[in-house]
Amino acid sequence: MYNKFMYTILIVEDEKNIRDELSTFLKTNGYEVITITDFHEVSKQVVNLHPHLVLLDLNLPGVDGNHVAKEVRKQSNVPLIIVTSRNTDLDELMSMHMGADDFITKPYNLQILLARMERILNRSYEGDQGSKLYVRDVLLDVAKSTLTYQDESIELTKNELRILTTLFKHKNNIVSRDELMSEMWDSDMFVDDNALTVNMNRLRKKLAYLNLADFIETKRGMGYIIHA
Amino acid sequence: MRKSTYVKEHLYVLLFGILLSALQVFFMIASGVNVDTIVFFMVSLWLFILAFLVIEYRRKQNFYHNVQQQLERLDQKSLLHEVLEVPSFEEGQIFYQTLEVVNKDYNDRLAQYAKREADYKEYVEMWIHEIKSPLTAAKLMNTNHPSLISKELAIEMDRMDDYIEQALYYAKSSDPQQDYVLKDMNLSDSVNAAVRRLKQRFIAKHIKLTIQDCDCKITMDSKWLEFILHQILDNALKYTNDYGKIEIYAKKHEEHIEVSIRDHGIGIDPKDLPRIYNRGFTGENGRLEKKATGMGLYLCKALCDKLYIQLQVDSQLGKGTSVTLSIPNTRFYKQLVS
Repeated sequence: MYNKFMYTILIVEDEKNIRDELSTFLKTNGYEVITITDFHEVSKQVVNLHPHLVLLDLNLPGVDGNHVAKEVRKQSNVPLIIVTSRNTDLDELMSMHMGADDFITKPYNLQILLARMERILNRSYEGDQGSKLYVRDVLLDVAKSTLTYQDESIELTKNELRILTTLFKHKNNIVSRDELMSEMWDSDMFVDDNALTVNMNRLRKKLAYLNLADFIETKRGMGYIIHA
Repeated sequence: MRKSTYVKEHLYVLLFGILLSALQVFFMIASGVNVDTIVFFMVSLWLFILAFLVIEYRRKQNFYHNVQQQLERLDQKSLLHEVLEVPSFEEGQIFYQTLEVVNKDYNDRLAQYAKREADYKEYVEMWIHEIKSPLTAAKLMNTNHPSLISKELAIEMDRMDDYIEQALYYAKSSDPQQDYVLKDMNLSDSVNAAVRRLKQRFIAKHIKLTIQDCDCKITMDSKWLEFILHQILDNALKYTNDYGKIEIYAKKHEEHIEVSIRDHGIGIDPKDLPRIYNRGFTGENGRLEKKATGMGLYLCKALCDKLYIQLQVDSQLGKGTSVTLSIPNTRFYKQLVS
């Protein structure tokens, strides 16, 4: 649980298995989760539960998700992500038109789901803790793309920021090079082995400037780790 | 209707006329009729015969000539009877009515098949959306309960997802309706999305990927384009060795934008090249690769045709393959809509 502040996510999904597993998944990723199991007057429930973000399935028993989105929009500005198995541009346009903030198709890539949620949460609740990560006294400001330690800051490139964000989020755990690359590819930074090595070396030099030379520890043949 | 055939078919009238004339002349001479009367008789008889033949010819010729002309002009030959006028002679009317009945029967059957196909397509599309729910649940379970085989399972599930999507686009590719939505978008959105979906394999095979100049505005259905690019990249990956290179680059032209995917893999045998778009075709290379279904390029071609994208494949055996999509510019699609 890397955020001091926990966002509450409301899952509106009628399929029990997906609902339960998605809850588990989001909880392990540091969110509070609430779900609804009665699909009468969904929009009313959504508004009354005051979540920070809603994951709304389009295919609900007896009611169309787009309709729910439209009804919710009339009373609340809560961020809405539509989750659906219909993946045409037309469906997406329709949902966005009904007031959804984002549109994700099943079966979703879970890392991408998390990334999109995070982006929308940060955008919607600016000033909250979401974009600031700490390990010991080292502060990673994701929004500003800077790393700060003992009143000194360095600017990070997109790649470096992504590497550090991943390591910060998995602090005390080894992150393999493949996992790092995978995270970067999710953000459209298509780096290969060599590029990752180059990025890593440059990042270490920058860290040395902050007297953090050994901040990222290399586990030979396994990956990288930062210790809290 | 040719004159010579017409004459041949009506030879009996002429022969009968000659026979009749000969008989009449013989009898008239025998009964002492004077020559003037005989000549008058003969001339009027032959005028009648020839007039009959010519008028008959004209009537039929008018009708059948029209039939042939319309038939040639029509794209949909079965609409013939709709554009014909009901002829004035009975033979023609029988012909016309036959066409009408046959055509109605044909249309009924066609409608039956069309309905059956539409039903099937509807079912397939519904099925495709339904199957995604259990797949989503399975993926979540796999993530929440990591085990020794989680990684392998994840890869297999991605493959399932790919095949499911292929089925969806197969249904779309044969649909006479254009169910895509053109909108202004950035080429790199679809390129990146297609690449992201294949990241596991790119990373596992240590492929060096370069993307150049894809940041440009186009008018397109982003999902369709993503699917096409995904298929092409999937092939490129399949036939590229570990630590190989794949390049994606775009070039702007006056009338269109070219986006190319080039690999340095095993390439395609020149004798296979003309057949690569054939449904179910897997070349020598494909057969070595068990996963080749021969549907990828076939589908790409079909979808590109619907989107007015030109698809070109250049390849050298042993050196690599380059697939180029020529996407018409925004103006082209705007004109298409209006």
